[in-house]
Amino acid sequence: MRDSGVGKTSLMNQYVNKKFSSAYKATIGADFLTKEVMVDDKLVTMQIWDTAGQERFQSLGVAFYRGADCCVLVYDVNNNKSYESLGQWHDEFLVQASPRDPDNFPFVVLGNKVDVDESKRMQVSQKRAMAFCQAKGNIPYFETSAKEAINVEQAFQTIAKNALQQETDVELYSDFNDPIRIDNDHSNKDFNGCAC
Amino acid sequence: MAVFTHQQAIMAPSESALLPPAPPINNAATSSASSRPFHRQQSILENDPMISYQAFRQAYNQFLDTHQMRQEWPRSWKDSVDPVYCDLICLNASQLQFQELLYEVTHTEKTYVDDLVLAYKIFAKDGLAWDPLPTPLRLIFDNLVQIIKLHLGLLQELRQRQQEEHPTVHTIADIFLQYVPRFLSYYSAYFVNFEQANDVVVHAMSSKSDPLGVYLKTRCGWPECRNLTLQSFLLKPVQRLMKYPLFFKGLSDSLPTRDPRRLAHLRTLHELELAIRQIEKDKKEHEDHRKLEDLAGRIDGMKTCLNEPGRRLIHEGYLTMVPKTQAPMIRSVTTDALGSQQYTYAAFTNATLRKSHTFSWSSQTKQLYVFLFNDMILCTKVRSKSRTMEGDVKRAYFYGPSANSLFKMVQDPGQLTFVDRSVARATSNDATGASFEEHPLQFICSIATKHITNYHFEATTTEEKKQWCAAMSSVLESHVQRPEWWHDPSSPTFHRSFSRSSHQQKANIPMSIRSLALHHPLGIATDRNGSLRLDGGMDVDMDNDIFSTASAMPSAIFPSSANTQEPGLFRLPLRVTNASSIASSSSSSSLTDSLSSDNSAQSQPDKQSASTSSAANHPRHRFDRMEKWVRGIQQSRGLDAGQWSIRIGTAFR
Repeated sequence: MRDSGVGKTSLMNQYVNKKFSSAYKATIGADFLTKEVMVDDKLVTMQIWDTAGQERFQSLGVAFYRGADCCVLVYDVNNNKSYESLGQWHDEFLVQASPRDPDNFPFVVLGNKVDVDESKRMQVSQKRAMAFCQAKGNIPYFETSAKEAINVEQAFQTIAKNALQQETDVELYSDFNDPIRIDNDHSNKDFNGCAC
Repeated sequence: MAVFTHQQAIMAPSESALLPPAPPINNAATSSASSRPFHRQQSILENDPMISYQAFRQAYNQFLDTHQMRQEWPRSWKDSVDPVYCDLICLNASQLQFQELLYEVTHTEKTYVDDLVLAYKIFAKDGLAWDPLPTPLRLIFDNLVQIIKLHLGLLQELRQRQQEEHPTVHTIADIFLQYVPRFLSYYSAYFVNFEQANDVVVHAMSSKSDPLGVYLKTRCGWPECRNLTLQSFLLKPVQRLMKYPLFFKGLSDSLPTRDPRRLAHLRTLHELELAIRQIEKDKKEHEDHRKLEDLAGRIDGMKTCLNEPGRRLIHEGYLTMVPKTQAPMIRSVTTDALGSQQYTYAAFTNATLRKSHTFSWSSQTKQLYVFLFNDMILCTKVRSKSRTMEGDVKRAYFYGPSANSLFKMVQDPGQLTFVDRSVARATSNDATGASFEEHPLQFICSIATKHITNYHFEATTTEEKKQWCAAMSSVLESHVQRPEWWHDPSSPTFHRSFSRSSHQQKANIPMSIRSLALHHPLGIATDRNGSLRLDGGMDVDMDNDIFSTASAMPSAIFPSSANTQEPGLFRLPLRVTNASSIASSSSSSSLTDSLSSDNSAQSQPDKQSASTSSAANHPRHRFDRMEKWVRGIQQSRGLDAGQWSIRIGTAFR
């Protein structure tokens, strides 16, 4: 019906609620979703924030990036443009979030919508995406489908693990269940990028 | 009361040891928060979780009841409508989408308000009653209250609309439109305070003994908090605000093109975006102000106040001062009447004579850190010592090469009067056929303090030079302001007076020249027929090319086509009757060199002609005066034509 996004909100929904709805696509879904995950025998609460809507107001988004423990970049494998802007979002995040150790800040790249029919898809080849991730310091890369629940669980498990690693350096809330903020950044500059 | 027992069951048994005797519990639970500030303050410091938790529960329940927030809503619009009815009204896909979106706006609005209220009741309410609460946090809590009130009202109206028009809502554009101005003011304040408040929270939470940190951590443990920290709650408004444009984009997209509602929703979208842009701007201004404040404390020997309202940093970075032994070659630019420029390069053949203070004050290469503001330029050196910060709060925003670098003033803050990117260098060593090119890294600028000094800088990359030159050129106008009495040639009235009546020309222009002469007794004078005269024997006529013809013709100073290219600049072309005095001192370079109040007189050969002798005897004197109103020399056309275009202005405001 309208420009579809890369699928951030769907991915989040699939992961947390195990649901994919194509009937009605929520514009914003939840502000953030929380999920408890076991990582290395430790129960952690993961907070996944959806950045939909913030792409156009970058200086306000800063607040949002700071303090994140992991950044997930999502692009649509069928949309070349969404892939092209990956690098820009990657750098943008580092500038805005200004993490303590930018070189080792955990990113995860997700190429979403691999469920789309072979004949129509793969504008962005796996090879290219892998090369990008390699170049940016071995970012874990997953090809996912929110619709078919392909790789979603694995991807988020990696996200949680990497985020936790980042978090242990900081050790802010040692007395508590470590809340981990996971920033669901996204790669589509399109204003409608959230329509997923 | 059922809730109370329920909550007591939730509290960990170990905490029951902390319970005060029974009466205070009832007391705290029944009294309102505001009536007992002292007790609240104590409750934070003494860490009395039971009482405060019960008070919170009661207040929160009350809120849920008053605003009917308790019941769960159906997940979507479709679920909220009777299926029979849904079939009856048979909406098409986009109509359905529209209704779902409207429903989502209202539904998420409810969740949002609920979360804000939780944040307020869990963290802010008692926090605000605590005296030593850090100001940034106090401000953000106050903002939070405003925002909650705002959104409660909005939610009420949305629900009312929903109920009145059930099941299909016609529009919500009008509701939001009337809320936009308040969005702007409340969220602007929120964003402005957000970063500092966030820093306070992070800092407090990282300490184990900090009372605020302990308080926040205890509250995080309450079940209603869902394991979220205060930071997460504080981020909600940031996130929510930027979702509204998304909603309205979606809403207008799902309406048919000709539907008048579409226009209404687009308008609201536009207004929302404008408001957010403004908030963005407000936030940036505030941040810049903070950065400036921070920078002011890091510069040694700064006498004037750096943090003046309206001052902004335009550009900053390292620049290398070129030692005077490397006297540059200068490109002279000639602009013809059509505005096209021709370059000629000239080496300083008499470079030895120019061993003055003009290009730098030392033979050593110096690395400076330069701050260019909209109204002044600051040359500093980075000190080897750096600032030590208490705490480990990381500064995300700062000026300078790093957050903790300290600076030493190299010169008083001054105003840029001139920037010349056209420093040339020889491309071949062949003495006869030497050719020149623009130096890719070097440029010269003049900075006026008490005197005008020329700085010969070298940037590290071509790109950097370009940036510096562009930035410097862009601030020339605001650094050097024309005196009020000077007619602004770019103003419409000025032009009109020329094009319409020659009578007016005569009346207006010599007036301004005369006023020039009046204000600068030694610098300039007009004679009876209106031509300009520089004191000291140098006669100056209006130039043929650009203005009127002979000196007998009074003085229609008229912006030529070349002049009008730069609006706001008035170039006064002077024909120097005998150009030797100026020419020999300044070569074909910019005249500002010789206006620099250095010893340019010494560099002059002794062969001055009679007509200029008096000027030559006191060149320094004259130039000292001139620099007060001459902003810079735009171009020269060699000795013969002797045409100088002078920008009129004053470096002293």
